[in-house]
Amino acid sequence: MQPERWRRLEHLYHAAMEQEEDQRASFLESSCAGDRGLRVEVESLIAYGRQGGRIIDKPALEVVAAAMAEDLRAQDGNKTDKMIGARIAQYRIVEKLGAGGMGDVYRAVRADDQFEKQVAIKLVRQGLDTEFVHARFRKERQILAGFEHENIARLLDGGMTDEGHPYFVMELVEGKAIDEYCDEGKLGTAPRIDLFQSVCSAVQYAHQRLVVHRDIKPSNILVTADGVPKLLDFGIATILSPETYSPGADPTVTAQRIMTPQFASPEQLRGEVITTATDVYSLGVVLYKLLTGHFPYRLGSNSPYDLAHAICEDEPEKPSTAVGRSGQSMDRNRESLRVTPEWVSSRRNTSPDKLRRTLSGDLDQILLKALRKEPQRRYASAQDFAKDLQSYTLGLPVSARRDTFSYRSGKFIQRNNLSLAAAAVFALVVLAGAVAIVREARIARMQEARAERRFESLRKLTNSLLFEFHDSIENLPGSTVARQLVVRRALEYLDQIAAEAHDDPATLRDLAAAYERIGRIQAEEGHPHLGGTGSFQQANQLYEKALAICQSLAAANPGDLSLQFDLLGTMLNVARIDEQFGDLDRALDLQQQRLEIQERLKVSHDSEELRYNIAASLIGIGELKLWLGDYDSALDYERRAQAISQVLLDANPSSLRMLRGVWRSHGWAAMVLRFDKRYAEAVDESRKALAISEQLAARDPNNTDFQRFLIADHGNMCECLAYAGSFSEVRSHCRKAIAISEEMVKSDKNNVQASADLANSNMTMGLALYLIHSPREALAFERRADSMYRNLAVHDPDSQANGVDHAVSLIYAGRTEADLHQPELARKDLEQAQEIMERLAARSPKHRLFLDTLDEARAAIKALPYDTAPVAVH
Amino acid sequence: MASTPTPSHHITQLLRAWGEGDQSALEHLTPLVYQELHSLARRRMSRENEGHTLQATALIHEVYLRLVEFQSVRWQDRAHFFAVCARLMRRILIDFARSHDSLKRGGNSRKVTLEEGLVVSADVPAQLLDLEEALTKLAQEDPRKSNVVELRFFGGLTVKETAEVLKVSSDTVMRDWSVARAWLLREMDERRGHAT
Repeated sequence: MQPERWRRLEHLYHAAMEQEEDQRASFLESSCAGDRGLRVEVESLIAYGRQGGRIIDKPALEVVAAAMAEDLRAQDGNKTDKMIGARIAQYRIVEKLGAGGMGDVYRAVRADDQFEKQVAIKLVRQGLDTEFVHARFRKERQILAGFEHENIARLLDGGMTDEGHPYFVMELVEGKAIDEYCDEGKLGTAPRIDLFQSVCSAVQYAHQRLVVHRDIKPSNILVTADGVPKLLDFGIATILSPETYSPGADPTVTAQRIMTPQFASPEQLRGEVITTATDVYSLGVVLYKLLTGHFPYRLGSNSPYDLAHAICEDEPEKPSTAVGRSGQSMDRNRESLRVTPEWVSSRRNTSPDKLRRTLSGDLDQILLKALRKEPQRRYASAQDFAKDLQSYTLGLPVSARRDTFSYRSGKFIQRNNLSLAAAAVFALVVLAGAVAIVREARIARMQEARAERRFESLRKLTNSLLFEFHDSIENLPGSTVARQLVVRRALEYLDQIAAEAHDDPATLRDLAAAYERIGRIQAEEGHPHLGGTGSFQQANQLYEKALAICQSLAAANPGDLSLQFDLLGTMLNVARIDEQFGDLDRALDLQQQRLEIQERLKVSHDSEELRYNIAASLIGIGELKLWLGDYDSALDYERRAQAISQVLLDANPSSLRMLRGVWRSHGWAAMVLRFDKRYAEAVDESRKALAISEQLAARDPNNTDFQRFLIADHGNMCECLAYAGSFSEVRSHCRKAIAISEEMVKSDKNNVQASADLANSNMTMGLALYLIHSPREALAFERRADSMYRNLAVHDPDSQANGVDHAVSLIYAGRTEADLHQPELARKDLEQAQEIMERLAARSPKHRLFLDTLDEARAAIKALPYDTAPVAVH
Repeated sequence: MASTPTPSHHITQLLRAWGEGDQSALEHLTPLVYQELHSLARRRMSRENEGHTLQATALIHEVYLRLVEFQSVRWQDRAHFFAVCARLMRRILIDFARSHDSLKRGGNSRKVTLEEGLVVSADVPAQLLDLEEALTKLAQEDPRKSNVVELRFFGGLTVKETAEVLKVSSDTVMRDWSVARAWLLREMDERRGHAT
């Protein structure tokens, strides 16, 4: 067609359509001016324009889906016939109750049960095909089967049909969806809140067991004839969600993410980590819907963008405002329905105005808090959500309002008391992260950046988990169970991954990293003041697992340098934890193995970096030899480290790092000499170290490390000189050490390290003054040190260094007091020193310094006059 | 042309790759859309649909929502995203109809099964193919009108959204739609008439 003619046709069509129907003929008659063909064409288009109900009038996807639905319905008739009467496990299927996107639900009876107990069976259409998924399915099922809560539909059984379709046998709940139930019964706001609180308690129950629902919506909450709400499908979304499957999962399957967009949280839409806070959000949408009859966002259109954008970006409308909305809606049977303020309030047996007033204020704030974009700013748990509703009901102040206030004033919310559910949130995040690491590793080749981001966020979250553990959860009653659960489930997941990850080096590496991470959590948990060393044993096992993986990887790929370095890193971490928890032999063994590997690598891949690391290993071995009391050998290692470090420095005379390496070897050599009572040599060595630290501090005055080196060296000089009997410089060195540490404490009051340095300088000064026979002066310094160590112990009761230094300060305080004829005070101090050292020696029974210090304390107690011994009083 | 995507291709990347001309991405997108189609059909069948305050087209939007992780789409890409989705839906649904139609001609059954559970009555695929042919013809006469139809019919967009994508007024979209719709229906019927 000519473009000209096409335009004319179009123009005439629109013009004619604007005419009254009976005017059209005459209009076209005159407009077409005798062009008969044109007129016929316009008329036929108009005729088609008025036809309705053609294929084009519904979106194509709808058209196809509708056609398929029809066929499925017919096909389903046959299938249903087949299913009715069929048996799944020991259940006989009686009738079909419904069908959903996920699968079909049947009513069934226990075939072998004379009481004909009725159940619901959900048959999932999606097949689960990997061994991993099966195993995971069995585990989850076990957890869910243990659920016993009045408001959770019980999962009785579950399994896999012969065709590989999972099925769930559930308590049969006959009831109505909570929103329908409320609307039909014309329930007012109060009874709706009441029902909802029961739902919260169900969610809380599951969260405490670390199960997230992920798909909370009214049609999953049925209210029975007795008015009891029951939450359906708990844990099923988790089982069926591909993102929780991990290793073999095909990431494109995330398309099958189970969620209902209208009730989904921002993090769900974004595909981010799902936690218990996700359920809190969905609960918020459900309550919003129950109370207002609307969804929280006023949408410009039905576009997915607008919905997702609103959920992710827009502030929800205040419920009291939302009830004023009017709009087209659709009921469950897709019947069009006009939702007006009048309609909404009539369903709540009230008037629009009353409803608005009921909602405005507390309920507005409570709902908005549940619907916050940031998971951490929502209610910390379903329980907190319910509690706030309870406060509202009782007319007490609600926390959501305080939150709003602090929110408006731009402050961060500072929760002093992290609730149990919050602990669960962190826990889940860590688990999800651990699994995600492995899955992401698979995708890493394609999505390096994304995997790194995940990894990074996992690292951060793990850190915050540790932080939270120390600061909040340890004092939280009942959190022990949650902590144990975290670890247990983490390990289950990791072990499953390990079983699947036969030979994929990338996955194995990540797995080792995950083991190490959780091991670290366990180690922190294993601190004696947190109750026992039980979990330390576990931490150790985890480290061993990580180590075993790294070892086999490194052995299988001797040419892969990065694997060798991974192994070295893990060995170092294991050695450190062994040292910290008293297994010095094992730590030494690992350090020696590291050295062997490094020496071997040096043959083929010699580098300055490697040599630097070898020097570090030598120093580490020397240190362990020192603690084990093998002074000669210790000194030998430190000297070897010195030689290597010096060569490196000579090659890089301007390198502060290399200079630092030399300093380190002199410092440790001085330490060994001092313990070996070779005081004159120790003084020489300390003097060398001090010369270097002065150089370092001069070249980089802002580096606090170098200031700390100065403190250590001055302290060492002071102590060695005092022992060596050359008293002239003793005071000046210690004064310098004290002055520098005071300066550092002043500049950063929260710097625990600086406080420890200051305490140590005072202790050393006291010790030196005692040795040079100035007992009164000495006592003053030791008393000061004692009180500082007491403060430090509050913050970090497990520091071995602080513990032993504290004991030393008490020993010298005690000795001085004894000399000053205050035996009662002396006994008190010495016994306390003995107690500290007994504790440390019990933890690390081969530690020479601990044992020697313990002996020193005991000897000093023995030397006390007999009559100061405590007398048993009756 | 990009290299063959692996199965681990991310859906949003697939969409993007396809939008940029990587035809092989389609292979990976198609089963996903089929899955959604299937579950959509299931839900229609059981009349179980949550979010019932939204209208019929919302179903399609839900499909998009489940398909795409919104973190990886910039909001400014909105128009482009819609256009790509509409084109994708057109391509996949027409391929779907085509395979049904040819299967139908091969065998005698009124219904055809493409894969387990994916069945469709014989008439719809044929009508879709007629419409597709008519639409291709319309594109030669008036590309903008053909775009309007693609976005609205295959993409499920509203008038307002269509206007946004094409950078014209809503009024223009309505007028285009009206005349294009009439023209297409006539074209389809004439084709049908010739066929019988």
